[in-house]
Amino acid sequence: MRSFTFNSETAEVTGTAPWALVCIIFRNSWLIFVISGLFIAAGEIWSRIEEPDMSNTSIERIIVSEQLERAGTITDADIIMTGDSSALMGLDVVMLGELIGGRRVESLATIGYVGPDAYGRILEIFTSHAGYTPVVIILMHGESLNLSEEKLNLIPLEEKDVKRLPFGHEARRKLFEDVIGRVVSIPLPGAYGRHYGWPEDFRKALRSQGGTLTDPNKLDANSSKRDYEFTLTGPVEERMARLGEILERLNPCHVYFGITPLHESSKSGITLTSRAAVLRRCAYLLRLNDRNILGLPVSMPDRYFSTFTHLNYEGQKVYTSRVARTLIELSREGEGEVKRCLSENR
Amino acid sequence: MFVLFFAFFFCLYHLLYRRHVVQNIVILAGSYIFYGWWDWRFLGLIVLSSSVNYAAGIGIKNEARSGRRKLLLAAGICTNLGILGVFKYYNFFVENIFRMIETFGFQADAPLFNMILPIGISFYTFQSMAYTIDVYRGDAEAELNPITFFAFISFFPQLVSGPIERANHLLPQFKRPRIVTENNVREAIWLLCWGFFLKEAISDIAAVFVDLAFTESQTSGWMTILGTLAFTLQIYCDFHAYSIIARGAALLLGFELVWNFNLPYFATSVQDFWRRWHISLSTWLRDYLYISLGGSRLGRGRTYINLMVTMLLCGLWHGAAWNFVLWGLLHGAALSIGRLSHEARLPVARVPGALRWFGTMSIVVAGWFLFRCQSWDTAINMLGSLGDMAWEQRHTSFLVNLVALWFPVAAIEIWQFRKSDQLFVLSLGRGAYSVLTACVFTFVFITFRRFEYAFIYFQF
Repeated sequence: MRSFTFNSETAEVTGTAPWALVCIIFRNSWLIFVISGLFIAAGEIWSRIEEPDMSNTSIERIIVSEQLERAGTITDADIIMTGDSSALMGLDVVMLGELIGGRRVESLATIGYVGPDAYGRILEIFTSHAGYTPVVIILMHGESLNLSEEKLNLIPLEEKDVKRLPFGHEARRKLFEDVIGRVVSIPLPGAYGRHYGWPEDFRKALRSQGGTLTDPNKLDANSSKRDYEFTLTGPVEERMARLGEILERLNPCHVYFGITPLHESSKSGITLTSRAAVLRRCAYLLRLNDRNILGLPVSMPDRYFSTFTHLNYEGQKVYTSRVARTLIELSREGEGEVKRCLSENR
Repeated sequence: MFVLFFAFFFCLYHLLYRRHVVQNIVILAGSYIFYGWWDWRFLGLIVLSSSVNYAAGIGIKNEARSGRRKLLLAAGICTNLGILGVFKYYNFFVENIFRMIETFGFQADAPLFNMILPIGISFYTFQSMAYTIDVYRGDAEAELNPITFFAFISFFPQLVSGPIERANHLLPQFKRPRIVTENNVREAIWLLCWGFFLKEAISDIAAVFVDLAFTESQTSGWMTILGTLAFTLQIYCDFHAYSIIARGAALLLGFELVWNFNLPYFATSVQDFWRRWHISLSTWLRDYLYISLGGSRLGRGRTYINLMVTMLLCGLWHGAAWNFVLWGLLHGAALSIGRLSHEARLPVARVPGALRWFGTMSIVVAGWFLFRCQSWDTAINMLGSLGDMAWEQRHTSFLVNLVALWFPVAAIEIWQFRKSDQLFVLSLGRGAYSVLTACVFTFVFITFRRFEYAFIYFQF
């Protein structure tokens, strides 16, 4: 093959002509691409025969799959706490149980992206397994009430609902999980990896802490949002109403709903008015009375947060005490109604 | 993004195969677009560095008077050192001077600049400085064509992370037609596949483990050791990957860049390590700094001082931080001890090779620990963690993963070492070459952009 041309008219040596180069590249690479193509096609076929195990592919999926698993296995819970990741990371349920008189509190909280109706479906799994529905506390952050349809479809509750990726991408996922994943187990990314290690350690931590976790991130000073305004989007409203239907069906004797705290620096007049309006709307959609709305702090000092939505370890302890105090007050106001409810359920 | 950019550039470039002078214009434009894509404001620095050294080179060529030639040389060197001084070292030195002043009881706010480090600044300034010095010494011809010279300084495959090319190696390649042979293409395909494999499938996965270990709150001694071993793998695969991707890309354009690595982890002395690691920088430091300081010609004591100064500056070249200074001093001390033992005729050669290798690697790995620690707190806490050497389950996981990551790199490199040929793969039969390259390519496909760590040496 000619690798350069010699122009006889000008007697000037020129570089490799493009067509010659294309031929050289093709000759030296076609077999590589054919063999790689076969490997990738095999991966694609393999992924169709055996669905890839998605449960460890991201922190969100681990949380969701683990809480689904726990919903079908835990028993003897006096109170089930559910909600988004601000609930998951914001409360220490073991401590909460001790503070409210030695009750067993379990968290089935997951993430905001699965949507409020998913919290109901997880509760259904618990109820069908345990045979009763205990007191339910739903906690959500303002950010989870403001999600679009697109975001609410990002993380389906169940693995079977995870969308298949286009051709090639599925093979990539399958081959990564089943070829590289079998040789190298990848720790969790970033601060979660440093704090928890591998997905299995993360699951263990979730199980050992009654379904709650601590966010190990350090607060980025820029993560705060000024004059935060609460908004309830249409897609969240729809799913909230579905959660209301599920709760009505499950008929727990008490359901409480609350909004988790914001950064102190995010609070303003508009924050308070919009929060009150959103709380009222949520109560309506969940078919709850005003009594069932938890009077929780609107905000907490920024130093108690690890992200805009998640409390840090210290903040978690402080907030848990506040939630416990609120529950005790409610219990007193309800003339032992909650206590009675707890004993009836069990 | 680079893949798309390169594909477009490659087509346009080769369509102009009849006129290599026009190809040089395309290289220059492409290189400036490539660099400006990151931050166009810093294009001015490359233009400044190139312009001053271009003019200095011509001036030195045309000037017969020694004093004037020296002045022009100084202008070229000072421009590059000035750029480096302002953009890379100013904050470090000012901050440390003010801290020192504070210890004497004076209070003042250090006038620091809030600026980002221009990408690749240490590479292109060293390349243009080397050109001016070479012209001054008569080792290279001054380049008269500004397009050729500016393209030589900004040649995009090696612009941001080297190798630091010499004028007498790369410049002549800009002056002749670009011939891409069958062997060039075969080599380029292997280098690109192997380079991306080292980056995506090894270095970036190792980086996750390194992040896990290098933390201020580290309390486990084994995590410190395993994390440092993971970083030893990460930094090599990361930088070697960049160097061979650059070489592969340049080959497809008809250029040949120098080898920057030659199996460095097979070194049996620290001196040997520096003959194999970041060769373009170590030879630069040897030729333009160590020898200029007097090398070994001014007596034994001065030789050790020169070694220490050279390695101290080698450390500072990597970054304006004390951990790099310490890393450089560690290597300087090891090189000095190696030289001392040689001069004292200690029977080092009689020590088994495996033991020499282990000793060398212990120093190199200890150096990587210093290199990776981003703060004193991290370094002190991690060193303190060595007091707790309890083995836990997670250490087993870490170790198994580390061995799995080292395995493919070690397998290929042992083969390369035994054959004394980094390109032994090219001597395989067509079938074996294609299967091996296809396997590597498939791994790249699986892991491509999964972790998205930037090349470590981009920050230098």
